Amino acid sequence: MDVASFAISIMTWFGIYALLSLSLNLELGYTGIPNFGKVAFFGIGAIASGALASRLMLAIAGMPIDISSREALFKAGDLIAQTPLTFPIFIFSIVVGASVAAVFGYLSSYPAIRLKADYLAITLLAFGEVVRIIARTDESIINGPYGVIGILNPYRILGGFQTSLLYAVTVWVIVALVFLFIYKLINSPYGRVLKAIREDELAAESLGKNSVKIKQQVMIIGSAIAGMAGAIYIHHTGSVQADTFVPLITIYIWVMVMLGGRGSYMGALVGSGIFVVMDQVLLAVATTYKEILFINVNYLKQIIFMLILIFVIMKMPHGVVKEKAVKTPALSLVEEELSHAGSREGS
Amino acid sequence: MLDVLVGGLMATLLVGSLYTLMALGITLTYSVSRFANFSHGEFSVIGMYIAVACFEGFKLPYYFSLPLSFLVPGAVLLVAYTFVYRPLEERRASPIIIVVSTFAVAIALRYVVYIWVDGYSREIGRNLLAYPPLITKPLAVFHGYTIADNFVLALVIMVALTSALHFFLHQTKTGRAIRAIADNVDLARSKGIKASLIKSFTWFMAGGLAGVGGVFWATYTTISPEAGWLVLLKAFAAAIIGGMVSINWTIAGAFIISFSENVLMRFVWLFFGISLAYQPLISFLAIAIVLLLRPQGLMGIKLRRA
Amino acid sequence: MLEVVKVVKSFYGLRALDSVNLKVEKGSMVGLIGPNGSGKTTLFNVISGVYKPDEGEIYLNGEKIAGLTPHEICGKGLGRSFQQPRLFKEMTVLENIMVSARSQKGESLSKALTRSWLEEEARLAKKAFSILKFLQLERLAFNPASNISAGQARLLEIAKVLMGDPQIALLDEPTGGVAPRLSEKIFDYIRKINREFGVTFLIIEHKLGVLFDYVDYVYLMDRGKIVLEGKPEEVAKSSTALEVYLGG
Repeated sequence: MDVASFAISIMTWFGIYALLSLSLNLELGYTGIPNFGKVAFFGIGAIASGALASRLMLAIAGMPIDISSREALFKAGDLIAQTPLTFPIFIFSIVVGASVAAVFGYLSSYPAIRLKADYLAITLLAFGEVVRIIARTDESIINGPYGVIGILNPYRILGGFQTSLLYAVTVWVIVALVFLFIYKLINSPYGRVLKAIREDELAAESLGKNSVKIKQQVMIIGSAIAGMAGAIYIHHTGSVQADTFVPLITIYIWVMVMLGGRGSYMGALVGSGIFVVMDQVLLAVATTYKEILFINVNYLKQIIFMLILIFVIMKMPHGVVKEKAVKTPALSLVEEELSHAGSREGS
Repeated sequence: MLDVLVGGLMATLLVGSLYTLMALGITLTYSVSRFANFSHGEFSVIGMYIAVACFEGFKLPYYFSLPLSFLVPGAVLLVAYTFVYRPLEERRASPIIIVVSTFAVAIALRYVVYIWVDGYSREIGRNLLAYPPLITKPLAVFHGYTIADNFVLALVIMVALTSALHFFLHQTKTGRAIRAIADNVDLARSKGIKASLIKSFTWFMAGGLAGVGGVFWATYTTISPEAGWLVLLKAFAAAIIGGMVSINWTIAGAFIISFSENVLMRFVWLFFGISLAYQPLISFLAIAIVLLLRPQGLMGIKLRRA
Repeated sequence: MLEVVKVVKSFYGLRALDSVNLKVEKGSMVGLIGPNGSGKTTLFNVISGVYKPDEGEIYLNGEKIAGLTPHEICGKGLGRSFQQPRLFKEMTVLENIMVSARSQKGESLSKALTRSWLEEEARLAKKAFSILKFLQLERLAFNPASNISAGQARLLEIAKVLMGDPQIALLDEPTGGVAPRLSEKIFDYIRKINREFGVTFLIIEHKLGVLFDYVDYVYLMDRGKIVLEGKPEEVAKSSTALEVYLGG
């Protein structure tokens, strides 16, 4: 693979991981909800959008809706790829992925509110496995263990380099929009309330904040973003397979968020960036030098990531990017007042 | 039909014993440290592969690996506890953080096992990543169900270990110290109990139990480094039924889950045609039901009446 | 304004509140005293919605509030501070105060994304600054709340309650561990808020000398019951009070 293609590939994965990190950062970093089931919502988004996109594609191509037939899917794909219909299908995929994941996010807010951290961890992990097992066994969703292939990259008709480039750009447009959304949300009184709930839920409640409702909202938004990432993921790889969505992925997102800085949306970006570079570089090393190395680099890679996580937890729990105060006009107004009063000193 | 029922019941006993061994470790560590240990399953895997190595390397049947399968996982868990979990505990890190660290340790261990398995596979020329269950010696056949030596041994060892554990916890000084710590650490310390030493010992035991469970697990299922994960969730389900602190109810939980999987599920499959691949969902369902309705586990029922 | 009628609350079979009756007139300052463990904080917890009473009723401005959640009760005009300050440690002092204001437009998900909350935010910022300035905490505005002294934390705890513009404020040992001179200053501030803004106060306090100079009425609790009530002068002279404090 040449450098340009490699760089584009990294950027695309970076975008997908950035979305997942922003989602966990909103839930865990700002609101204090330890979402150990992140992969479940990622997977639900991927599976729902894959199930619908493939069927939609067959329907539009006027073919019988049988997602188990590889030839049918490829044929329909070839037809649709020539038309601008790839875009509506893509957008529809994302909307469906986000919405279905959001519904499950809402349902998960019940245990998230009621259970202690370690019990919640088990429940959400178990939920992720339930999703995976059902999707891989029941053939009516995404063809059971075989999965569905032929998911269309909307730019496929352009071919090769341009397809990848434009897709990466599209992914980052979406990331930018999500980032803007989160930026506005956090730098507002709502963001303050999230942090207050994280710091001391009882105190926040006693100040009039409806923590149950807000946690529900956060789970819905966070899950929607993760579901979006799922839809984007399948259009990049071209297929959806239930067994992709294992708890290890949840841990990866936690590594990104913890490393980058738990309480900061910039931290989420930094963490996912560092992770994806390390991941892809190690992968490239493993592929290129497969013959010479005697330890499987893929295995070593996992160990390295886990050691990084343990190191971060033990030595730098706040991560690379420190949390900052919520940016509202109150900040500048009070700064002004202080300098007028002439008594601006540190403490 | 009767054969299916009998087969199911026998399997319940065997598998229930396995789950018991694995769940007890979780209950023990949770009682003294109050956080869930997600790395627990990997110690069963270590036990599994020790049994495999004993067989492949020395042609010894699985039960010869039992002592080593107790000591090595116990020691490794003790190391993890000493260098990762305990410092976090002492620093009063939030439970979320400690749980995440147990996860990280789990994955790290899993891939260390992968690396070892890789190397050893190449050395002996067999694929150890998906290794068939270890050979057991059939002893008798009962209503179509073959009773092999692992059945007898698993039950015997399960009963022996749980009785020993019971005796230990109630009749020995160290055991009573563990229960005191589980009840109220500060109170225990004020009575002169060396909490850190006792806790370390408890963690070592938990690892050992998981390892022993792993050996028997190796006679029952395909062996792979991923097996730890599946085991973990079932063990947790059993421990949760026990409210994470009650030994007796954890054992009950282990058999409840085993029964649901091996008898109930089989009948559901027979009568409703629901695929057996959904079997793992039972433990997940159990977890969800117990946690949402009664987070302190079934044990809570007894407390209320008192 | 606040009326507690025959409230009972038990924990594990023990009655922490044993048929408690208490009334706080609008605009008044009322003291709640008693030895440790007599149930004062539990009473606050029940009134503010942290616990639901087993029996009895609580009226706020004539409305029944027993069993409502803390945030609902706060929404009806009741504010409450905690015995050990519950500050939002990783947030700055300014953020702590700003978040304490009630019913902010910008706190709703839909409005947060628009510009509609900016005006209110500016107004609240000015108010926050004046509160901080009065308590001489303004230099600490950008400090994380974990990085202030214990005495400053107490002041901040009170400031947070008052920022919420309550009609009635329940203060739990507002001068706990604070030097006498500062304690009087705090009570001066409370009285000022009471006189100028008409905020009603129910205050738990151990510093009886200070408390009695400021409140209009006193309730004495012991072992979950109200054993004495009356004007501060009367309670100060009563032998019951002496017994309770020496015996308890």
